[in-house]
Amino acid sequence: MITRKYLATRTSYAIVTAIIALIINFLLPRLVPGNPVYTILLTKYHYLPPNQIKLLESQFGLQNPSLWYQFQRYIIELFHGNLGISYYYYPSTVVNVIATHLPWTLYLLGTSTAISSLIGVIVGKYIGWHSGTRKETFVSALFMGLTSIPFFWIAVIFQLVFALYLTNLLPISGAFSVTLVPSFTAAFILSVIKHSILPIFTLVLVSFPGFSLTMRNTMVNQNREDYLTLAKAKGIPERLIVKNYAARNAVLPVATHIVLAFGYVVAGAFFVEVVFSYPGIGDALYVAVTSLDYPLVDGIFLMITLTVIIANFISDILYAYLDPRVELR
Amino acid sequence: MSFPILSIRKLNTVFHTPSGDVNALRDLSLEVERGEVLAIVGESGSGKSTLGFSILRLIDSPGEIVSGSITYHDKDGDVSILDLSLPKLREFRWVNISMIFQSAMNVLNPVARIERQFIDTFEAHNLGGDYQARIEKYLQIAGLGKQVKKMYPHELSGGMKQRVSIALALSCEPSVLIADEPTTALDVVVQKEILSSIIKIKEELNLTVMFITHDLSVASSIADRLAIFYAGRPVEVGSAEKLLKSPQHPYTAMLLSSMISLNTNRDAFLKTMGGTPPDLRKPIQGCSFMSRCPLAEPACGTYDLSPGKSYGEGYVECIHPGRMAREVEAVD
Amino acid sequence: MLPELEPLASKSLKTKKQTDEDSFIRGALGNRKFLSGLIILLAFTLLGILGPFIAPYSPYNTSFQSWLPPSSAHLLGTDYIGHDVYSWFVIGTGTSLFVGATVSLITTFLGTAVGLISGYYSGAIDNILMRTVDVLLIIPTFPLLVILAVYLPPTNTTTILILGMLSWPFMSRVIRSQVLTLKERPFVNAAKLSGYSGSKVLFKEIFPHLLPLIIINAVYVVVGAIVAQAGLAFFGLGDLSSVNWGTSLYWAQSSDAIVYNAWWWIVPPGLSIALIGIAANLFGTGLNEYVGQRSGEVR
Repeated sequence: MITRKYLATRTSYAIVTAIIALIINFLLPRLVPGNPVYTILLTKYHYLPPNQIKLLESQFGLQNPSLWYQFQRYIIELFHGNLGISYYYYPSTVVNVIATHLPWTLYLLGTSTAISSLIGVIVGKYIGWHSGTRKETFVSALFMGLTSIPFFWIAVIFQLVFALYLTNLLPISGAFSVTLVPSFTAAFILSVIKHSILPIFTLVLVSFPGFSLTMRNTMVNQNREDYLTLAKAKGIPERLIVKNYAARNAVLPVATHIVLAFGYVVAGAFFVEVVFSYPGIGDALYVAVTSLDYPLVDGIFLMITLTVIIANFISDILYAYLDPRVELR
Repeated sequence: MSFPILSIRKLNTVFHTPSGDVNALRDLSLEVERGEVLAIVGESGSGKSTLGFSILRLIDSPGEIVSGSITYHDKDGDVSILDLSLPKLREFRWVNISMIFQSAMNVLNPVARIERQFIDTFEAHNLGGDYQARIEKYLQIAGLGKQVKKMYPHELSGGMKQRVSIALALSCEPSVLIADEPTTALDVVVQKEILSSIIKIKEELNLTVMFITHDLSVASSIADRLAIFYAGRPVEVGSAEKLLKSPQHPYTAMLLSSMISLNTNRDAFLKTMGGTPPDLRKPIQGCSFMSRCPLAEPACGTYDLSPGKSYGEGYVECIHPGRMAREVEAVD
Repeated sequence: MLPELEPLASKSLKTKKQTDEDSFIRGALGNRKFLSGLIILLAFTLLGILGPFIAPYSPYNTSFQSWLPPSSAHLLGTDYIGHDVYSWFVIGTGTSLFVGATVSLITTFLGTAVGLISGYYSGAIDNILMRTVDVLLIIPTFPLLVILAVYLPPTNTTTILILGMLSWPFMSRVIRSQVLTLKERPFVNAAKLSGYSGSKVLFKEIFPHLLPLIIINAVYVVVGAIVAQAGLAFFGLGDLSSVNWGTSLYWAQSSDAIVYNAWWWIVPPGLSIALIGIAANLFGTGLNEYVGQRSGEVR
């Protein structure tokens, strides 16, 4: 149940966290000794005329050294949707770079989460049903093992196998064939799907066991719930028991799992993108990190952090709506 | 002349466990008379709750009702509960026999408002009429205000939850109410209130109540008849008055002496109550109470339980009925 | 007479506790999951300690031919500039474990301290600490890791400090909730009634009961830190000249080891991380099961 107090607490958490993220994002680059414009641009262009440097400084908002002035400017620019200019993709703006990379990441994340939660729920139901048997113990142990393997290593192994042993079966890098121009043609869409199979498969493989184990635990606990027995005793049809009693109560832990695993899966997607040179946000972040493109690193950090904070906030509200007990916790 | 509403014959319920099948009910036979309060008394593991669950066929895997019959004597004829098809069973439940569970804390669906949990029951049985009025009526009977309708279970106290489940159990106007230790989880004051409201309701609605408890004093305060359970069978059945005055089975006598007598010598008897009930995974020869009975003799081991000398008015499963009670008196 | 009694009593108590601990450890070893997890973890620890002694070459020796497949001279072949991969791997095991263990020490110390204080002294302190933890838990770890690693000097110390600072909030939550339940147990109340001071109750009565939980979490953090460090290295962050499992994978990826089919370079570190993860899970689940059995809780 959503009370005003609950809403207020959750909102204040979200706001405080966002402010902390903003401060980190603002302060960290400025604590680093040296002026990034000089260090980066000079290594790139070797010599720049002074008026060019002045121009660049104003472009990057560095001409006034007062921290407070810079912070004001930073906030103002932020609210205008300006996150600065990328060094690596110069003269593209950070927002632009993020915008071109984001759809690919969303595609990977959305598809793999949908598939892995579906498989996870089905498999989890199955092993939950057989809970306590030798088979179940084995599968659970196997799944726990799967969740402890790093995403990127699985991706590398897949790439190795498909590059050398199952050659030409599936593309192992990029988002679509380089010979094609992005368009809504069948050939292009097919190429996109083919290129995404390995990244998605990797993500699913490492994230579905987590879903299964959550679902299993839910099932095992549910079987012991007395309200299900009462529902049966009351003569409620099986179909309605599943819908109104069991499923509604089971959805909560699974939903919590999705939210808790969100950060993990996002990070996983980034690694998978790096391995498969998939042009998503992870790939952009990798490029930014390796080329010391500070504005881009900052921008991506801010975007992901704010997204996760907002997602968290929304899920808290949804959760309270689904579970009337929530405000008591 | 008796007019039973429920006849249970040779009922066997087992629980399949990794260490073998546990025979929770062993060839159990019992009659429940129309309009009475029958208290089922026993320690945990005696099968008293299993009986309640078996009657409504709520025994879930790994449990199973293996054999026997349970007949519900309806106004329009007999219903064999164990032979009902699943859809028929669903329709039968709650409108004929309903139940109050032990665990008041967890029986209500945590994510639904109280009224919803009434309405889905009414809808399941295609009851007509004004649902809201009906809910309010039974909440009131159970001693709750109508504001409870709109609340969620977590907003109620333990006693209130148990009252809601009583209201739920009555709301479809069943003939038989099985109350499975309805007050154990509650504190003493609330226990008393709940008990007296059950009795009051019973009178008002002409219910038959099967009251399951481990507490002989609670049972004797409300029951017309008592059935003392031990190791999956009733060892003594009789009117509360007679049974309390002159218990026939040693177990009953010992339970009673530990309950009533405040004399010092009761310790001697209590001591003999030590030991554990027999292992229900193994077949039991003769009298099940033998291992704990101070009067046990070789003949008890061959005591034949099978003949139809079950149920009815005054039944005891012992080769020397009444002897124990006499000895208790002598000691006092 | 009287002053003598007290040390005597406490002495006998101590020996009783000692035997309790002995039987606890012996009992836990009876759990197959716990035992096998422990064996794998100990084996890796041993490898980490012995690494520098059993490595046939220096990890910085680049005098060998590139991309040599495994042979008797090079058990795990060589890499793109002719390092002996086996030497690099066994010495890297030590570094990876060291990073994991140090991070775990920091995390366990902070997490336990905050959890204990917050759980035991409810009220304002608890409120402030838990609000802080709540906020810290909302910030997604990975991007924060990346941005910190980008701006701070790329050394193993930085990596250790960042990981240590970021992983304690979760642990403090776990510890706190356990303290809250322990606080209500009869033996704690008895200790309080007998006039023990707050800190004495905390350390003498509550802390010993937290140990299994703390150990389990500490082991999970070791593994988490190893994976995180490897992940950071894979992303090109941290000290890339440090010899460890993560940098091994980074250099393999960036030098296109796949094209050369250099599986001998890619498989060992990844497999080790996976194995150590499985071991930690077995260890934790086993210990949990055993503790659950002992206290008779149905979990």
